[in-house]
Amino acid sequence: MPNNNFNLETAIDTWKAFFKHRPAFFQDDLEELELHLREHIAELIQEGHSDEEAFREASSKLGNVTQLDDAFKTVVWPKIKHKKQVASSLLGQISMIRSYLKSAVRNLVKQKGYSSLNIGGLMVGLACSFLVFIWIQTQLSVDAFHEHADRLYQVKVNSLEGLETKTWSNAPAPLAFHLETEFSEVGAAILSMPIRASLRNEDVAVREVGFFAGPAFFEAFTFPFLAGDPASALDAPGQIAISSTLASKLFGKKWQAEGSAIGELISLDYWQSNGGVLGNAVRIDAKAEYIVTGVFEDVPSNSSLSFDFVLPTQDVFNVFGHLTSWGPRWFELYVLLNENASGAELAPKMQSVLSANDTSAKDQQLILQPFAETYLHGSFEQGHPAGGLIERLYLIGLVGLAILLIACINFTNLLTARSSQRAREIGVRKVIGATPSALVHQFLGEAFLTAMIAFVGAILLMILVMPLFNLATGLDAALSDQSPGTWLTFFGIAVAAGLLAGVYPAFVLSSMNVIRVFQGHGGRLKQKGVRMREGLVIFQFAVSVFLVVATMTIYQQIDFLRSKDLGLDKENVVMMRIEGDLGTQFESARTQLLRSSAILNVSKSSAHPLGVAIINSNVNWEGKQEGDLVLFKVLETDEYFAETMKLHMVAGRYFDGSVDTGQLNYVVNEEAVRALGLESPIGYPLALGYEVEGDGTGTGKIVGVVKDFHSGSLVDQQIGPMILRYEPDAANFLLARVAGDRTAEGLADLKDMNDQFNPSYPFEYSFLDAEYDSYYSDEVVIGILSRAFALVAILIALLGLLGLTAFSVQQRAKEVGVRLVMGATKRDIVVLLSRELVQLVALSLILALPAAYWIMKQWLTSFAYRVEMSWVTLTVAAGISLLLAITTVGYQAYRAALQKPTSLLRSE
Amino acid sequence: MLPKSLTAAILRPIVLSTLDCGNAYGYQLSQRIELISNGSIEWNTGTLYPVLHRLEADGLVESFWQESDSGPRRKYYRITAAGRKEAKAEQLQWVEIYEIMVRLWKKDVSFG
Repeated sequence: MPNNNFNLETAIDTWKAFFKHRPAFFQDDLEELELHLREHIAELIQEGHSDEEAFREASSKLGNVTQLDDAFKTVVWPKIKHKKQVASSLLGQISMIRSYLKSAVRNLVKQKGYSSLNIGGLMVGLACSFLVFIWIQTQLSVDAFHEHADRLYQVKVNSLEGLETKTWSNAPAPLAFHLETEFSEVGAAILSMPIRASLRNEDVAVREVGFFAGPAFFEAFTFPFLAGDPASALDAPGQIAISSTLASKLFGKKWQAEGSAIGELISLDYWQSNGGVLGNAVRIDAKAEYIVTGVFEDVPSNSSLSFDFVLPTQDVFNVFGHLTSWGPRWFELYVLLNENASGAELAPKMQSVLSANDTSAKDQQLILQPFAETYLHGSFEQGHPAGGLIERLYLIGLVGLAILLIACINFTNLLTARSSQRAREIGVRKVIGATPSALVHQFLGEAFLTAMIAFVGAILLMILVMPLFNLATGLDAALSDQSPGTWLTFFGIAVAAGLLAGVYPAFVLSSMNVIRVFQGHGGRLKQKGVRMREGLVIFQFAVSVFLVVATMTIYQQIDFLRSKDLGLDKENVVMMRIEGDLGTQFESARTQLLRSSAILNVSKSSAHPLGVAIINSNVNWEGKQEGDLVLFKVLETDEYFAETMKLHMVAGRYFDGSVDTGQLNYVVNEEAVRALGLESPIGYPLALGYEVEGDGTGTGKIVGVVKDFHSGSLVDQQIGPMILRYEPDAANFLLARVAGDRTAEGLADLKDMNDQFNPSYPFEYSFLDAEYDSYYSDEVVIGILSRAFALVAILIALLGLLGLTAFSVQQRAKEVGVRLVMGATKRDIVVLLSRELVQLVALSLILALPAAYWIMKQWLTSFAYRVEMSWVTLTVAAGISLLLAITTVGYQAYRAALQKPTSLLRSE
Repeated sequence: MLPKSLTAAILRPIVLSTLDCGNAYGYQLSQRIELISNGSIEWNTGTLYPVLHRLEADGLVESFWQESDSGPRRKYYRITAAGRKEAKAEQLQWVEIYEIMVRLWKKDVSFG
């Protein structure tokens, strides 16, 4: 009997309800079964069955819940299980990572002091090593930008002088012509001579440094051109290529706004050159017109050649025809080889050309040095490359590395030191199932996170100190200029530092014995950790102490160089170059200057008194034997020079214009008297070879002996024999001694004089003592760097010490409490807590001081004049280090001793 | 009427071979099996689905939902290449069993 109350949808819903919440059926399965059921029902209804009959038949055919449940379960269980597994392991991993991060962040935040020590130390270390990296990279990039750098060589000459082989950078000019015409492997041979010249366009006059250079100069040295053709810019006399800056100076808007300079005229008033190593300084009043054929981009700071203009060599040869012969050596010679040609094969062929053409060159050997190496490997000893700037590169690289290492060590130290505090956390993690590898991951992750924070901090720090860094090193570096590769390296260093520092604590901590941890001791970790920590502290302080000694020694040496009595008075001397009409009207100018009470004396000389570079071997004296060789520095002056420079006469007199004009009268220094072995030098026959005929001395004689005075850098120039010659007309420099307290007034008078006598030249001057100081700019840079390094190293080491003491105080809190209760004094406690660390610092002193002494002594021997290493330096360095260490450690210990014993005892 | 025990054993090769004749959705598949067996198999058509799922898990069939013009969307099953290979292998096994049985029934054996 049909049931009129039957509702199909209700029935299906009821049927569905049985299946819901059965784990064997997923939503998909249910939907599929329902579809099946409904379709069967529809079909049965169509066949004429009632709703109820159809439902009953279809659902029974499909199977009831129990039957289907069993059938489905066999398939579905593995599915369910797998799903659950994936989900739970994923959840587990996520929660584990979250827990790592959480505990890392928590640890960082909870231990603010410790974290900032840790991150701060690493940050400073990273920043420091990054800056060193930038510096080294810049140095290595010098001269590497020339397109054909791999084929570009400089010809150098090894010259046997007595027992010593000296290496000169100057080569005979004709060699260039032979090389270019006779050897197929030579693409171009380029002569170049550095000069200084005065260039003028209408009423703008400038003094700049530049080159006379062969036509292929810009083919070999690929300085980019802004206008003109590099290949033809120098191929005819009267052409000039200038830098963009020089073009701006001379042509102003015309160049800057319109970019037109090609075809403009520049007049050359004079040029001067040192004339090679053995030649004479020359000064040529050229008065020639040059036509601009090229404008090149300003020479980059990483070029060892620095210049603002280039003139064709042809113009020198037109003035000095004899330079095309083999004798004079005024030029440097560069060779651009063809591709696949070998410099090693060319060298002997070059030698045979020299031997065949220059019989006087039998003691000379030509060598080729790759041009890219000349900057960093500029020193030669006995004819072989013997380092140069590269040594400094290594040294600073090493120090940078040491500082990075110190920072990493700190990191490791502080991390392990705190490990026993974290022992509980590790114990709990282990008990709830963390595997050792999971713990290693956790600690490495923590170290990594800290390193990343330090990395970001280091970059911020670098931005902050970049101006100082540039000031100290003379670089023009900016973080934004660094290549992606450099950034990647920085990042790599940071990551490596983090991991390196994290690896040791990670493995030690993860291998701790859980039971012993809960018993209250950190297991074997303690012993191992302590030994490691001790070694690291010793290393840190050894490096710091070494740097302190180095810094002190370097500054002592710089101070010595600057303040040494030079035999002349370099203070308050203003120098101007004599040019234009000043040369011809010097006497009137001098008279006018002396009217000023601010100017005490005025003189002139061929070179500035502390920059005498001309060395002459062609000096004749009575009794000179064949083969006698004495090299003399030659300086030409007027009669006021000795007075103005406050030289001391030892014997005879200085020059007198009324007596010495046109005479071969010379003044020599004591060293010259010694070198010639003279007993009574006054009146002794002597003459400069080029002033007399043949090998004789003519009427030449010594009229005075001046006390030895320095005439160059104290770094490499011993005082040697010197001849002073009376030749006011050869003078290049005006020297004015001004009253010490009236410098400004004196300068104003000099400017008035310049404006009156030399209106077409801007008033340019320099102070003799500043010029002298500039000789030591390298040493000053090293000093600044070394001081910075020393500060950083000490800072990091002290941070480390601070952390370690804090830790040791914390660990021994109970012991301290008990001791205080038992009647220990504060002093006892301070000694107890700091003894160990101070001992370590003392040990590092014992290691570092002898090493520092020896290495700095070696460094000092590279100076011609130097201070002695003193024990005072070592004692002071040791004292400073110990004092800082004791203060750092003692302060913390004292604070612990001040606490109430009860609070110490309750500390856990 | 086949007993349940035998049905359980034979359902898997039947489903596979039926699908080898063409894609089908669940109800359609059960209809086809009914049709081919003349209703001689006693089964709950619901048990078809666990079999399909197992086959799917083994990579022998794959499923896809498809909208239909007339009714609700349906889940279709399609045999895979691996499934086809499996069907072939099972066919050989069944033929082998059949031949063994025939020989026994014909007494075409000597147990010497």
